[in-house]
Amino acid sequence: MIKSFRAKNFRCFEELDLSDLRRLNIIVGKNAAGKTALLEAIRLALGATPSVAVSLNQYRGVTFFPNPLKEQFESQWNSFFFKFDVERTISTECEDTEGHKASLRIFFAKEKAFTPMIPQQQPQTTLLPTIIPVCFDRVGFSGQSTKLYASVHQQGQGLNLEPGPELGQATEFFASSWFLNPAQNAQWFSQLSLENREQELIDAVKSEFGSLINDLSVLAPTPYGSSVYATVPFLSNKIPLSLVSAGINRFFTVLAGILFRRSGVVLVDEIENGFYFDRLPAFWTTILRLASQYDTQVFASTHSMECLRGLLPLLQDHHADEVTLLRIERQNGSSGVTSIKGEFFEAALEQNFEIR
Amino acid sequence: MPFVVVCEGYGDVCFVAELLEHRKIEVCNVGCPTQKHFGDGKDAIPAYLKALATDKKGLKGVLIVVDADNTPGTLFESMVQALNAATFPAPDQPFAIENKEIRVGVFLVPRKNENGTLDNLLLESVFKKHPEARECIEKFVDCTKTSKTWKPNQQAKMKLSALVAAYCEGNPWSSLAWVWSTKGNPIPIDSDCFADLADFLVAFCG
Repeated sequence: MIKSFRAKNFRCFEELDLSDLRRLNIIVGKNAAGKTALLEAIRLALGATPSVAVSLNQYRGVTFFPNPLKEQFESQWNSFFFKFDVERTISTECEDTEGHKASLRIFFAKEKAFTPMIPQQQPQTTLLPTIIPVCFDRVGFSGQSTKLYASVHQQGQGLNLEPGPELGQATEFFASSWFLNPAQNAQWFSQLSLENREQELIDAVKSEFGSLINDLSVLAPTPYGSSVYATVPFLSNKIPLSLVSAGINRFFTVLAGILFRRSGVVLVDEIENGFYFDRLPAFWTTILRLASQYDTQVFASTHSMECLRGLLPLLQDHHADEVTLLRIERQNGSSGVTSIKGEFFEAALEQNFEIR
Repeated sequence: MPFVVVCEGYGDVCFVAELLEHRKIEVCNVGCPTQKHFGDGKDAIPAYLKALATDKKGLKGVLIVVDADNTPGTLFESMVQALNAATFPAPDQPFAIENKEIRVGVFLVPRKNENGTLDNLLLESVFKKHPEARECIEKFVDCTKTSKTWKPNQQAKMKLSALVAAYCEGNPWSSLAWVWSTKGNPIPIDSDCFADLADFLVAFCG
């Protein structure tokens, strides 16, 4: 589990220092305060590959250029830097509860600048503008140091994202724009089933939605791929879980992520989407129970007071030490985070204080 | 608002707010705990202070105004503990204004070297304005035999409620929260009885 996290020059954070992270970390703040950026910072710090960075861009709707020109290549990376200042170096550092550290530095590697050439009829070639690759300089939790580069191919044909392993913490990021992926759910469920762990997931869903779900299974009845199917009361046939309820499907996906990313980190932007308010206390209880059981750490953002209030029974039930509230505010163009301990978070909810 | 006065209950909040308005102090919020999960208003003050501590941005001072009751020393110590538990500094003694990283103070009602409650203080002000009311209400206490069994604090509360009902033609049901805008209100906010608290508020928010 990550105990502390630091970042510099990433998106709206010139400097970020979180020192007392818990099993369940709730992120609040106004629009454009930096909630999503914080989740992205953690995702990028733990992934630390050019591909992870590109995937974050895609969640944000940044145009992807598979065959970028110089400006298009740079536009893929500029927005990661504080105030779009590419002269800076982005840095992150995570420390786990055992004192192991992983770090990442991202910068434009000027010493690696090169000019791609498009070969045409010999001896002529077309010179393209000079490209400065982006370096991902990483040190994993094991202490191993590696560098990966994002660039374009030498002959100017296509983006070149050097592949590499993530830094050792299994991570899942559900961006606010994430869409339910039936094939991924089916894959996770199947993997859990292979390990005889799927019943935990089925029981968790049934405990919340027992009147709607009798059982879950993965089926592939069509050539288009497999899905999680639900056995429901009052219907003779099983139906895809997504047809029962988008909210239940989302609940399933988040829980599956927690089980599947065992000993890792699950990041969820706008976690409240799709849940009826009276389900929220049980929803949080299940999330914390499974996260504790599978040693998964959860970071979740929300705008919803109902969602936060749903945490109160959990906080009052001796779990305040497992929860922290991270409130993000933007001042003078830079975002800062205030960490609020679980017992203070609990008091603010009890006393009806505005804490979002 | 840079300053916050923390009271025990909503009636107390309305009184302090009225006093602040009378003294033209405009830099101060007044609040009290919700009592949903707590028995007495004082019991919830530690939780209220912790809630207050979740957003210290712009906060310059926290003043606690509570009843001294019969154990002012113990009460003060419990407020010091509550302030410290909520990561606020605490004063060394009641009625002192401590300027640490933020300003803090604890005022025990009715005033220095006196046990009692806000009800005692308000009652004192009513008797001062309406001396004739004292004999009437004591007779009422005798008639209803409350003096023999009720605790002094409860007696004070009963006397005050009865007097408010008797004077407030506009709304005999009026509570301490509403009395200030009710026709016939017998509690004079400009009473000398409130001078110690009012002066302390002025000094604290100055």
